[in-house]
Amino acid sequence: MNEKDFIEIDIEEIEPIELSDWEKINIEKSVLRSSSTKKYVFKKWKWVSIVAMLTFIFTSSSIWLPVVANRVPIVQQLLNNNDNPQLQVFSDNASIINQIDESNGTSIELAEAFFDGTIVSVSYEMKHEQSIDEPPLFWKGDLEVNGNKLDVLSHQIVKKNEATWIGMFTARISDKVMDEKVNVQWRPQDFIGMENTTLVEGAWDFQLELTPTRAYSRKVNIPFGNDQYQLFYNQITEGKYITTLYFEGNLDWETEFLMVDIKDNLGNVYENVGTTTIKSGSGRVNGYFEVFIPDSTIRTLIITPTIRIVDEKTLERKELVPLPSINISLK
Amino acid sequence: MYSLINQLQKKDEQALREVINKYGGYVKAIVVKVLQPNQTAIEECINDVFLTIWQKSIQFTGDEIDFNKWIGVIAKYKAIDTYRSLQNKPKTVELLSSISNSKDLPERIVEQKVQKEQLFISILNLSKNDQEIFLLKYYLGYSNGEIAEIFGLSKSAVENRLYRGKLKLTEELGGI
Repeated sequence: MNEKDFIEIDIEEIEPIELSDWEKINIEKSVLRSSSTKKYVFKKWKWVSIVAMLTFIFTSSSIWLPVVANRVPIVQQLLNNNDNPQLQVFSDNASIINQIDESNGTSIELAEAFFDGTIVSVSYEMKHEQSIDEPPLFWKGDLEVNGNKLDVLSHQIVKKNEATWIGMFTARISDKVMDEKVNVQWRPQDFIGMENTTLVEGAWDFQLELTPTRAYSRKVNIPFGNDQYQLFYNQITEGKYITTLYFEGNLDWETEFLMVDIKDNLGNVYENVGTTTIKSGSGRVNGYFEVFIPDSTIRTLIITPTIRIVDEKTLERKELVPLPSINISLK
Repeated sequence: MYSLINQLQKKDEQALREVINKYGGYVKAIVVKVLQPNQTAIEECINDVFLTIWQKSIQFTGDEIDFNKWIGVIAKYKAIDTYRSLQNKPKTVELLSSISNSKDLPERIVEQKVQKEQLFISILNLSKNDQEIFLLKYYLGYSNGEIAEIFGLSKSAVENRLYRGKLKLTEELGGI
């Protein structure tokens, strides 16, 4: 198909494609965010995906799988129509925790947790005394591993009933692979909604020890980009749960974002892959992005980068600069 | 008028949610046809389409069927524009200079700084045939000859429609 073929598309003959609830939420948030004149303050690390550019995203790609739901009491109550196999890994490897703590009439049960050598992931259920209509997406308080505070990378929550929400969050422990047990402390205080309103007040405390599954890490030097954007991958970490590709290069952290479209040698397409970057110098960034590799026979990732240039104030897109695809071999 | 559109024009966020719910799959289908398999561009474009709908719905006039077509045309041409940008083709949006060359337009319109987005939406208020001709000409930069070939028209017929459409656009833009 070429451009003229597209012009001849008869829009009255188009059959709609199903849009997931998640996609709908992201569109809505992106529209409202773009329309807003509010200035959003990013943390030092900036996680961005094509949807996160315009909305404050609160989850990575879906992680629940109905096949394993029966074996995972809390997870089984979550999304039951998503076939993302990442949950199978979570289910197969997660430790059952079942710690319950109550504060101010609200109980939280930390159900299961999993550590793949670089990433920790925790599922929980929160029961409140009254209904909570707005997603309690954020919390005050700390998540610590071995005494180091972590930022949550992704957080998914689902409403079970009027007063109960179920969630799972993931945090990166280290850029390096860890092969020893870690001590995790999660001490949430006050859950907050998208509009920065406190939805649930309280203070909870969980402590657990997690043993990692085996992960691999290797330094690489794989350039990509073009004359203007000279970047390279410098490390690849492969765990059961997440494969992480680290990169660095010359990008303006404020206005130029690396986006990636990823396929593999089996034809799988990885959707909603966000990149996280940190400014490492004038016009330079370090960053990484993560994908779940669903099949151990997958040998190659085909990564097509695009630089998205945005308006510094509104974050609205000004230009997309496609860069050449590059193949990355896995272990 | 269709109450959902009324609510959308009042910037009711619930109406936005319903519009996304009702038309999201339609928009996605159109955008995917053009931009597949570039997932990044698809998501970007869908967001852009709904942002345009949200910001410009106040300028929509018509019923539910018209609204469906209005959305479809936005999706189709936004997707083609994105496709073009990904092909590194120049974005040719010279409507302003073209208008300014027209003897039929008052100076005050020539002097008006009109944004591409506004022009895009204004073009959508033309009749369906003229609308597509204008989008091809001024949004995508096709020559009169190319447009004539696409629509199976003579070049003079295309020029005639462009002329008549410009007069209508003059009225539209004169009110800005």
